[in-house]
Amino acid sequence: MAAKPAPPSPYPYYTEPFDLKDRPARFLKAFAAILQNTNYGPVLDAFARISLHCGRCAETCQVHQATNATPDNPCNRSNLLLKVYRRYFTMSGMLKARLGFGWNLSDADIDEMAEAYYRCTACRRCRTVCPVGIDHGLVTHIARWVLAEIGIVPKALVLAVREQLEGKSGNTSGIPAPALKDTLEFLEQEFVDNYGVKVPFPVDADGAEHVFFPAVSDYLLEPDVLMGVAGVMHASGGSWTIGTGYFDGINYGLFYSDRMLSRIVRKELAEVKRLHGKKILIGECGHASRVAREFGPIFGGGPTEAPPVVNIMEYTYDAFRRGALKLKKGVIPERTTYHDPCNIVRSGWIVEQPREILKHICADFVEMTPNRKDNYCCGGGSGTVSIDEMRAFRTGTQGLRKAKQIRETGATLVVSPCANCKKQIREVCEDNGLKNVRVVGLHDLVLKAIEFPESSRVKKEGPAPAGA
Amino acid sequence: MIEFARGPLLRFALLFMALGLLRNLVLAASGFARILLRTDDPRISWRKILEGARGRVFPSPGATHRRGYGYLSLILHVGLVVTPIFLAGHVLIVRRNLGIGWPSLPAAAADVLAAATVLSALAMIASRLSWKTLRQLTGASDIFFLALLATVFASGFMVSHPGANVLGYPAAMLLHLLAADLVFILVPVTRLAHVSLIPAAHALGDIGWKLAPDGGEAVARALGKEKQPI
Repeated sequence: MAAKPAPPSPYPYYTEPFDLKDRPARFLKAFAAILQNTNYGPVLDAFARISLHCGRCAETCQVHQATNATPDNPCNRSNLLLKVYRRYFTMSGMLKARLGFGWNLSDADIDEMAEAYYRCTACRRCRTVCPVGIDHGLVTHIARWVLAEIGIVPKALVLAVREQLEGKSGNTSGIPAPALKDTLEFLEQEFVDNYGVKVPFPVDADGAEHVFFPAVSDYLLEPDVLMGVAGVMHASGGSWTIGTGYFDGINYGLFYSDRMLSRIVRKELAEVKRLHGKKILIGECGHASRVAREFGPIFGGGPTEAPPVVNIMEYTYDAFRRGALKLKKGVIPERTTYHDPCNIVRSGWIVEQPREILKHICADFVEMTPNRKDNYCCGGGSGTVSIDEMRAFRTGTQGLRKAKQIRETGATLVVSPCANCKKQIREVCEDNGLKNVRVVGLHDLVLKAIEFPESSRVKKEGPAPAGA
Repeated sequence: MIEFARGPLLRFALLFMALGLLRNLVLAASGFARILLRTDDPRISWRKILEGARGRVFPSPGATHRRGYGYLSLILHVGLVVTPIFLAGHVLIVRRNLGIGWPSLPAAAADVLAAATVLSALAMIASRLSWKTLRQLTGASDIFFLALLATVFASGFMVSHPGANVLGYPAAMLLHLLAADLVFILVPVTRLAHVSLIPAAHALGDIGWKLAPDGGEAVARALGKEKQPI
C-alpha cells in the first residue's frame, strides 16, 4: 500500500493536523499558562526590557551569516516572542493598547514565529557575545513550547517523543528490548571475530556503578562507537550496565516542550533506580548529556537525590589519564579534526578531554577554526537534524559554515561525538562536495587504539601445536 | 525655564530614575527568588556567570563581519559614565548642593571624552542606517536614544565652550538640561534600563534554565491537557 501523503503544512516542516481556529487566542492562553506555571516570566521580563539590538548576535550566528536575512537575526527572532510578551503581559503594553497604541496578535505573527523558531538551531553561540546577556536559545526554547501547545511542532519530533513515552518500544528508534539484546550479542561476537577479545555488554546488572544511555540510534547506526565504549569500560575495569527497561538517552522534549522533557528525564532516572545504579553514563550525544546533567537534578528531587552524570568522553579521558586505560599512540594516520557539540561545549563541560585523547591516538590532529566554546553548530541542532524535509536548508544554509570549517582543515576524518551532529555533518559533507570526508565518533577511533588486557584475549581453537 | 529645568524638573527626573531603577532591581531580585524557590536545583555558579558576562561585555573576538560597532559602543559607554560624573562643573554643583565631592577630570580630558561620546553616538547612528545587519534591527527608538544622548553631550560641550556655541548660552543650556532630564526619566522605563538590569540579565541566561520541576504538568493542567495523549 502506498504511504499516505504527509498532511499539508504551511511551514518548512511537516506537522500533524492542527486546529486553525482562534489560534491567536489559544496562543495567548498557552503563553499565559506557561508564564504562570514556570520560571520563565522573570527571564522574559528582563530580556524584553533590555534588548539593545546591537547586532553582535547576528554576526556570530551561522544561519544569519549564510542568509543575511531579517528572520535569521537572533535579536529579531527573539523579538517575535518578546513583543507578544510586552504587548499582552506587561502593564505598559496593556496600557498602550488601552490608549489605542496596541496591536493584536494575528495568525500571520504566529506563522512567522513557527518558521523562525525552527530556523534557529538553539546552539546558543549568540549568547556568548550578547553584551546584555540575552540567551536567544532560551527564548527559542520557550517560543517552541508555546507553539507546541497550539499544535505547531514538527512531526518528526512528535513521533519520536510519542514512541518514547507512549509507544511499545519506549524509545525514539522503536527498538524492542529483545532486538537490543540480539544487537549486543552480535557486537560481542564482533569483538571476538575482529579483535580476538571477549568484551561483554552487561545487561540489567544490578548495582552497577554506571547505567549507560547512548542516543538509542547508535544501536542501529554506530556499532563501532558502542564497541569503543564497551572496550573502554572493559579495558579500564569499569562497572556498567545497559538497562532493558529503558536505554535511550535522546530527549527531544528539550526541543519543544518542558512537559515532555521532564517525563523523559524521569523515565531515565526511574531506570537507574530500578537497577540500583549509582551514576548515569551518557554516550556520545550532546543534548542527551546536557539534559541528564542539567535537568536530572531538577526532575529527580534535587542534586542530592539525582545520580551524578558522566559523559563517556569524560570517563574515557579519566581512565586514560589515570593509566587504567592504555591507548596506542598515533594509530590513526589520517588527518583528523574534532567538532564540538554545542550542548556539551558551551558550558565548558567537555572541551579538552576528547582533544587529549585525539592528540594521543591520531598522527595528524588539526583544529577547526573557531573551536571549543566558540565552535559553530553543525547546523542540525535542537532537533532540526531529524526533520528530513528541511535537509536542503539544514545542509545548505544552517550547515554551510560547518562545511567551510571542515574544508579549511583539509581533514578526511571528522570526529563528531554526538549522534545528531554525526548525521548532520555526514549530510553536510554529502551536500557540500566533501566526498572524501568520513564522519566518525570518538569511540570509533578509540576502539582502534585500545590495548586490551591479555586476560581478555580469546584463545583460538585448533590443533595443539607440535611438541606441546 | 532654565531654572525650572535645573530645579524642580531635574529633581523630579533624578527621583524618578532612582525609584524606577530601584523598582527594576526589586523586580529582578524577586524574579531570582521566584526561580530559585521553585526549582529543585538552586545551585548557581556565580563564578561561571561572572566569567561569561566579562567575556561578553567587550567586542567579540569571534565576530566575523565588523567589530567597529562594538568599539563605538564601548567608547560611548565610557563617555556616558565617566564624563557626567567627573566633569568639574557637575562636581561643583554636587558639592554646593550636597556638600560632598570627588576629584574631577581635567578640562581637556573632559572635552575629549565628550567629543568622543558625541562622535561615537553619531557614528553608531550611521552604522545602524548603513549596515544591513543592523538596519534589520533598527527602529525609530534606536535612533532616538542615540540622538538624545548625543544632544545632551553636544549641548553640554557648547555650554562650556562659548566659542563653539552656535545656539547661544541660554538655548544650549536649556537644551542640555531638558535632554538630560528626559534621559533620566526614560532610563528606568525603556531599554536604557540596561544600566541596572544587565547583571540580572546575564545571570538570568543561566538561571532561566533552572526549571520548575512540575512546570510542564502544571501547564498541561491549566490547559486541560493532562489526560490527552501526545
